[in-house]
Amino acid sequence: MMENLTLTIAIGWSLAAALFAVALWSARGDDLPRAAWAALAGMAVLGAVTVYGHDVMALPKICVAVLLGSGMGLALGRSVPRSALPALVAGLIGQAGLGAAFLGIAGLRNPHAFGLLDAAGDHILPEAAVEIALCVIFGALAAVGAVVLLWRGASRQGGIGPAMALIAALAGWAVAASAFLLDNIGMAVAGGLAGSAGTTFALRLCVGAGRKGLADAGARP
Amino acid sequence: MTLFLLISFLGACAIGLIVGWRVRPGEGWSRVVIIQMLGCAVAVGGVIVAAEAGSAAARSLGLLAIVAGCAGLCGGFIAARRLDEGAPPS
Repeated sequence: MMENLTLTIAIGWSLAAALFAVALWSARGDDLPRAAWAALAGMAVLGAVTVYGHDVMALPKICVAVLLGSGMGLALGRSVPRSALPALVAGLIGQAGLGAAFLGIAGLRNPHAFGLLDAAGDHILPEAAVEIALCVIFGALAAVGAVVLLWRGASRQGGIGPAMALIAALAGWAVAASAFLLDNIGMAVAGGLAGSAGTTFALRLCVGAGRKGLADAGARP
Repeated sequence: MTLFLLISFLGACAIGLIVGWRVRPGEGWSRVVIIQMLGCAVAVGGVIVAAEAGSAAARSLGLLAIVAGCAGLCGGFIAARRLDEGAPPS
């Protein structure tokens, strides 16, 4: 299951990790499109390295899924009114959480394919069971949190709410758990960055800013 | 391999901690959109699952993860471009 760590894969993972870090570090008002391009490029590099490193049997189905998902995302992003963009982002975060939960369930359904069984091949390894549980729990929490946020009306909230940052962090932790499940360093970096930054940001909004949002919190804590 | 994975993960957590701590007023939406895009790495996990899974059910779940991840990535990218066009929402 684990990719053989060749020089090409190591360079690809390093490049993707660097692009993810640059994207998160440089995401400010004016630099946001550049940061988005960096994140997109990092994901493209990571996807290319993953396809290169695995014996992909279902490539046509994967291509159809990529085109379908990309088309859905582009249509959603273009069609919603600008005032509904926060609700869209909340929905997309929930979708990512749901995807991570799917990965955990897939590992549970087919543990042999991912090297999650013990030597006898009877039981799932304890660490793999923990990773699957974290994957499903964090992913499901992010999805449910996004639904609750949409139900309450994310677009009506003033500024970024701690709940939005928290569900983004949960989706990030779910991705990190699935990275450990699938032994993918690029995913671990993306999940670690998203989970850690989102959690710190949510805590700052809750504690440091007295639940008022950063716009009312003055400068750094 | 697991050690490399752990070191990379902890390094990413450290960078994320610094970024989350240094967010300034008015940068909240920018950071959350990028965090949302990073969460779409589930698409890559979906590729691995769809490529390696032996059962149809697991492969279908992997394909669903790819659809969810790609939709989130492209939607987040468009949202980031539109957020840049004017003042952040509310």
